[in-house]
Amino acid sequence: MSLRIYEGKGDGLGAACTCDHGGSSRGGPGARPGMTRRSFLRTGVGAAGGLAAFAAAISPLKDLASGDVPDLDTFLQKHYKEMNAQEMEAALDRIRARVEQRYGVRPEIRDIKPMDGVEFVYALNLSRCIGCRKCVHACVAENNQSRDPEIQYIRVLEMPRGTTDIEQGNHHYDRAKVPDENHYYMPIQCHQCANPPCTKVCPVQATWTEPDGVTVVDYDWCIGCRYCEAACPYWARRFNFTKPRLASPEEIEADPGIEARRLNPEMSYLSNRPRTKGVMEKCHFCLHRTRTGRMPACLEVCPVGARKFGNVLDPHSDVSNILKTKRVFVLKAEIGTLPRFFYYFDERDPTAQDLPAMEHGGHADEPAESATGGES
Amino acid sequence: MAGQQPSTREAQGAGSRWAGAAGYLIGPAFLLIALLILALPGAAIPIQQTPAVDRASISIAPRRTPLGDPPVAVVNGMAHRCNDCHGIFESRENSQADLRQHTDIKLEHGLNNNCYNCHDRKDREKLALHDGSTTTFTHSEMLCAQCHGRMYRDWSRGAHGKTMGAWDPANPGFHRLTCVQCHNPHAPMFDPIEPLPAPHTLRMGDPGHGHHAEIQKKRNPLLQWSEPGGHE
Repeated sequence: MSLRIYEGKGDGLGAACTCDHGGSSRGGPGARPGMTRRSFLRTGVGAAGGLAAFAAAISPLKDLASGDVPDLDTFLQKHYKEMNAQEMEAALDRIRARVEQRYGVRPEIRDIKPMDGVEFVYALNLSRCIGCRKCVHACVAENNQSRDPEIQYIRVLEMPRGTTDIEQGNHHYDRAKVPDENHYYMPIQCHQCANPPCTKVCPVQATWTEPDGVTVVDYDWCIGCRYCEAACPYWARRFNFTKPRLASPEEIEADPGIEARRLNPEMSYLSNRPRTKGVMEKCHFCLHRTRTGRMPACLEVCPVGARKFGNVLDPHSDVSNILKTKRVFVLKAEIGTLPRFFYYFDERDPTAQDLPAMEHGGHADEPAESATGGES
Repeated sequence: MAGQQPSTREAQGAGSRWAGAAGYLIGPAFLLIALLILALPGAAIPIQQTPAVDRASISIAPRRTPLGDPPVAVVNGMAHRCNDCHGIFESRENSQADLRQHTDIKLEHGLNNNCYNCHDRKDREKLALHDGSTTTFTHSEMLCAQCHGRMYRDWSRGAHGKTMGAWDPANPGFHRLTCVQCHNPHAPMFDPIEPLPAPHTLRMGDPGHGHHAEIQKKRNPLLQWSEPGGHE
């Protein structure tokens, strides 16, 4: 358009036809009456620039491997909630085939539905946690998270005694032995909020809260906008910036079968099936385990029994007892997210020796010390 | 004139040579940008070599395998039942200090420094309760509960200890590990252990200050190119 506007005034040669016909008439070879050297160069350079820009825009496609492009059925796959049983089975078959092609292992994948009358709640005893990070790595192994780059659902903060201000926590503690006597340890993972900010911001409803309280992601529906990651006040969501790998390139080179051995073949659609580049993932309380009655992987590996899990609707469950008898708190209670993840402390043993923090300015009301003196 | 809008120029007709020159530049500008984009190396996401974690370090097996009923202990490399020896020899009223056998046992259990506080002196395959009755090695939690009542209360409610197998108390797989499956009864405090590797993820919080900031800068690939103290 803008090229044609200036026709006919500089040189006057094209006046006869350019004004009446569109710019399209100028696209032909130089034999056309309206074509001059100048207009040919203009058009040619413009077209070349446009083509080059287009090529640059699509250049990431050159890095695509054959397995990266979804087939038509996957592309047309419906949202999790809209699939009927046959469509879900077909989707699971496609996942089985993809996983087998990629890892050489046939997964046992199912779509496990929530159980009736069950709402999962997690509780964590901060008096017991020693910060060994076993939960972090058991979770990675269980849920097929990318090892390289590293994706971990659980963060363990090393906190100075005397505060619950998580801004003072440190993820990168690197001690020969834990626990350190001047610190306590606070693992943080998805809190499975009853009022979750993350699901509200999803523009495509790819993440939602299930009836048993677990917030899940349909990895095939996620568009990777990362709004949910920004919305989460607990920093619980993780994004696959690259294709997830279960081993580093060096490890794969040394041992080509390492990814297949690291893959956990027990999967469900909404939990630990392999993700792709550009999708969000998060802790889902190991729902492929917990919806079949088992405990989450992070709980089973805990060497000090700090982690507690159960059905809060059952008045006799461990977590119900903890909520009734222990003084629990949630992180950032003031923002109204209603987490299903509770922290608690044990009462202080009156016969225990003073902890080091008491000597250098700790307060009697600090959480680790918050004992009711006359306790049995 | 160069600042005029195209529609104005169209209406005016002649006198838009400067604007025409700008039109010439659009193509080369695109070309330049395109070449620049193509020539630049892909914006590779920095990936760090992350340490591998051994499967054995995330084993879910209980810390200890307690003695059964009847207890079979390995002494001097051979498995014996307690009464193989203690049924023959008279047991002395002793303390840890003058033990001739079982010298591998270090009794670090607070004020509880006498074998017969817990072990039955007459039948060494049983444990002695304070009321004079005995219990088996497989039901030692009531023995512990005599002193650690609060812990026993929490354990029986599920607030202390470890519940394995299933989360539903009605599920047959639901079971609580007993005291001695985690704690060594002779030295119940846990020794400090080596933590597993720290995170090397791209985003892991504010780098903080001082020593921690240096560590995080080392581990966080994105921070390697940023200014000291900068946020990601």
